[in-house]
Amino acid sequence: MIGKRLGRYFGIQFLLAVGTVFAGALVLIAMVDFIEMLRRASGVRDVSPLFVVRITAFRVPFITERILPFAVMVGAMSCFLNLSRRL
Amino acid sequence: MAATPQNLRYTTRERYLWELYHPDPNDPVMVEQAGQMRAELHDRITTPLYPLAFAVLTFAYLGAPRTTRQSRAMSLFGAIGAVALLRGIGFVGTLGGAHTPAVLLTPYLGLTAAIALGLWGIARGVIIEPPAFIADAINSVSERISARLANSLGDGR
Repeated sequence: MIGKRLGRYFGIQFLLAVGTVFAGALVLIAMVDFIEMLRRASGVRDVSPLFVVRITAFRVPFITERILPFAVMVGAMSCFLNLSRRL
Repeated sequence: MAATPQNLRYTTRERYLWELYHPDPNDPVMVEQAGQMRAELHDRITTPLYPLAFAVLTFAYLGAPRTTRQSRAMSLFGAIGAVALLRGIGFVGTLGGAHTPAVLLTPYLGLTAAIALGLWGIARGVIIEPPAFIADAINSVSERISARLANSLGDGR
């Protein structure tokens, strides 16, 4: 069995890789969604950019649910490939 | 016209989980789209299990130790293919389950099989690789492509 410290190291590497991919994808998608919302709201009166930011923020949890599995996959791939090269 | 609370109709995706679990018989959307509501409920139950299944599958394919001279490309493509297949089964189950309730079982079966097989492979230390004839075919195609690329780059100079 792998030791406690080695197991913790693998776990931290995995979580860091998944978290990085997830955060990157989330920021990118939220920005694209914000721009799309701005475009849609451009024809509507009295809509401030702050309001559009709020709408985008409300949509983000739905997006996270969709991208989390793929973030785990890509993060896990990069983590395991890096680890297998280093060891 | 802006939607007022009187004419606002929430779609299946905008419903709470408990609304999907205990549908209101007086709600017209629930009556019209009963199949979609059922499929949506099962989709929401299975969605959190996909990250776990993907992590197990990826580990089963890429977690095995390899030397720096061994290629990981086959394992990488294998992992991507397995994940795509599992997610595809999930989509088919959700789409088909709206019409045929029995099809809703397929995502559960796919997830269970993927996690169980992945854990079995990890525990046994099995190196999952495609059969030799597939690996040879892919290698020969990639070699041909790289040779052509090298030739075309050589001609360009």
